[in-house]
Amino acid sequence: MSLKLNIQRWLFSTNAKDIAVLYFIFALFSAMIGTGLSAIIRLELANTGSPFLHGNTQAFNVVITAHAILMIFFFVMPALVGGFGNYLMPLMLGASDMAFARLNNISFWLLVPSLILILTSALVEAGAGTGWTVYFPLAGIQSHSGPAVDLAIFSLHLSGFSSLLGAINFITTFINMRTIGMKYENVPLFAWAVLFTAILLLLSLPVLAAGLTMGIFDRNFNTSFFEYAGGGDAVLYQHLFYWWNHPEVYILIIPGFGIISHAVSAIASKPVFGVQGMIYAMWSIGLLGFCVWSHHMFAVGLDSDTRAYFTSATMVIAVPTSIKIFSWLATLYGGTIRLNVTALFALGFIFLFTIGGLTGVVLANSALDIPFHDSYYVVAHFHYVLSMGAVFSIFCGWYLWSPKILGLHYNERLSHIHFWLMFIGVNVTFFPMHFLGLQGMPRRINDYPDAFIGWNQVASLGSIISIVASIVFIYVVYDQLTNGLHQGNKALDSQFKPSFMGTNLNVEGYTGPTLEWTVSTPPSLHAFNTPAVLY
Amino acid sequence: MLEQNKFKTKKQQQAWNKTLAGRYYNAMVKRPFLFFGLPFLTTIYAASVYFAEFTAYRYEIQDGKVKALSEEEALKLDKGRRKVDMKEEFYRLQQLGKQDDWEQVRVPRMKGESDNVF
Ligand code: HEM
Ligand SMILES: [Cu+2]
Repeated sequence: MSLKLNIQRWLFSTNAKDIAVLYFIFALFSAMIGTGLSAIIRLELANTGSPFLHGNTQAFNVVITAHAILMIFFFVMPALVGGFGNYLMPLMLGASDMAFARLNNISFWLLVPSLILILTSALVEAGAGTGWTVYFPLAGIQSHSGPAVDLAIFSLHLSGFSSLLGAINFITTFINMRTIGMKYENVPLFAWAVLFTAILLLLSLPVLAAGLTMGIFDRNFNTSFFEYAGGGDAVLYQHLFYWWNHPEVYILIIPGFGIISHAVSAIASKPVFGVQGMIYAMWSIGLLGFCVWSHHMFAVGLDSDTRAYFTSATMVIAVPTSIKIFSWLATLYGGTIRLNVTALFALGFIFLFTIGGLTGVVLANSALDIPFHDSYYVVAHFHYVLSMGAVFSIFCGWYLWSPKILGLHYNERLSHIHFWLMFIGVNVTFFPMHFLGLQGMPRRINDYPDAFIGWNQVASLGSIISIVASIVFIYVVYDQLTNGLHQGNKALDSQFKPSFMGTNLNVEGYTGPTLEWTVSTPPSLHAFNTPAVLY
Repeated sequence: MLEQNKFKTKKQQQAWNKTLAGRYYNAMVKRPFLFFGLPFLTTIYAASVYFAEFTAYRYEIQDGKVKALSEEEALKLDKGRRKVDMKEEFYRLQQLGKQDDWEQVRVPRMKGESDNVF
C-alpha cells in the first residue's frame, strides 16, 4: 500500500476494527515502557540503601507514578476497552461499526499526545513524584514547583477526555446498533461488560476532571481549593479523586469479567451459567462502586458511623463478585474442559483474582485498614486484582480471539511457556508483599530496614521472571505475526475442535453462541453491512 | 448435577405453571428486569445501607470494651506501686553503680583492614 493509503487507513481511520488494532499496538508499546519502569522499582528495592537510584527519592517517586499511570491509563484501559471493546462489541451486536465512527478516531488519537505529556512530565525538571493519586498538598506548587505536575494533570485530562468520548460511543452503540432481533437479554456478556464500563466512565470521569482542574487552579491561579492556609481542604481532593477512582478499578476489571465469561464458556463448551445473574452482578457492582469510595480514606479521620457505612458497603460488593466467581465455576462444572492456554489464563484469573478480592475484604475493615493503609499489603492487594486479574484477562482474550482477529495462529507451546513463566513470576513478586505489608513496610518509600531484605529480594527475583515472561509474550506475538499462517490452525482447533469426549455439535470452526464466530477469519472490515438477523 | 430442564408432560407443565415457583419463573422469563434484576439490585443496595447499622453497633461495643488510658491512669491500676517522683528518680539513677569503671577498648580489626594508625 502506498504511503497515502496507509495514512488514509491508519491515521484517519473510522473503522472500529482498525482503531482497535491501533489501540492494541499502543497498549503493547505503553506496557513495555511500564514494565521497564517496574524493573527500575524492583532493582531499587532489591536491597537496602537505595542500590539503583543512589538515594534519589524523588526519582523513585517519579518512576512509581509513571509506572502506575502508564499501566492503568495507557495499557489496561486501551487494551481492554479500546482494543477488545472496539473490535468485539460491534461484532457481538451484529453492528457494522461503532455508532460514532469519527469520534472513535478522536478517542484514539487523543491518547497519543496524552502519553507524550506523561512521559514529558517524568523527564522535565524533577518530574512528578506525586504517586498516581496526585494528592494535594504534595502535588501543590510548594512541593512540586516545576511544570511536571501540570503536564501530568494535562495528560490525565486528555486521556480522561478520550475515555469519555469512547464511553459515549459505546453506550450509544449498545443501545442503537443491536442487530434485528437482538433483545437486551440476548446481548453477549462481553458487550454488557463494556456497557457497564462505559457507564462507570461517564459518571465518574467528570468528577476527576473537576478535581484535577481545581488542582491546576491552585497551582497556577492562586485559588485555594485544597490549601488550608486559604480556607481550602485537602481532604476534598481525596473525596473527588476517589469518587472516580473506585469506579475506575471496576472499569479496569469489568471488561476482564466479560472476557473471562466468554473464555470459560468456550473452554467448557457450555453456555455461561446464570447469564442473568452475571448481568445483574455487574449492574450492582457498578452501582455499589459509586457508594464505597471512602474505603480508601479510612486513615484521614472520618467519624465512626461513616467508617461503619463504608466498611459494610464495601463488604457487600463481595457478594455480586462472588456470584460471578461461582457462576464461572458452575460453568466449568460438568463441562469437558480443554486445558489450552486460554483455559490456563482463565483459571489463573479466577484463582488469583479471588485472592485479591479476599485481601480487599480485609482492607475493607476500617479498623484493620488503619495499620494496613499505605503499606505493601495494599500494593499486594491491587496487584493481585490488576496484574493477575486485569492483565491475565487481557492475555486470556488475546489467546482466545487473536487467531480470529488476525487470521494468524500463535505457537501453542510457546504460549504455555508464557503462561507458566508469568504465573510463577507474578506470584513470586507479589505474594511476599503481603508479608512485607503485615510487617509494616510502607509503600512509596525507596529504602527499608534490613529486616525486610529477605522478602524484597524474593519479590525482585519474581519481577525478573515476569519480565522474561513478557519478553516471551512479545516473541509469541512476533512469531504469530510473521509465521502465523504456518502454525496450522492449531490455536483455533485447540479452542473449538470437538474433543474426543466433547459434543459434536461444534462442527468445524465452531460457531459459538456469539456472533463474532460466525463471520470470516479474519473478519472483513465491514462485517455486517447487511444486518445479521437473529432468531 | 446442575440439571434444570427435566422433561415434563403437558399436564405436569400445566400443574407446574400454577405453582408459585412456576408462576414466578414464567413472569421472570417475560420480564427479567422486573422480576429478577430489580429485586437483585434492591437487595444488594439495601443490604449495603442497612448492614452499616450492624457494623456501627459492633464498633460501639468494641469501643466500650477497649479504652485508651493515660500513663498516669495505667500506673494507678497497679495497687502496690512505689511512689514515683521524676526528680527523685533521676538522682537515684545517678547514684546507682560506679560511674567511671569503664575503659575505651580498641576493637580488633579484620584481616587486611586498614588500622588507620598513622
Ligand atoms: C472485593 C472487592 C474489593 C475490595 C473489598 C477492595 C477494597 C480495597 C480497599 C479497602 C482499598 C484501600 C486500601 C488502602 O489504601 O488502605 C483498596 C485499594 C485498592 N484497590 Fe481494591 N478492593 C476490591 C477490588 C478491587 C479491584 C477489582 C481492583 C482493580 C481491578 C482494585 C484495585 C485497587 C487499587 C488500585 C487500590 C489502591 C489505590 C491506591 O491507593 O493507589 N480493588 N481496595
Ligand atoms: Cu476502592
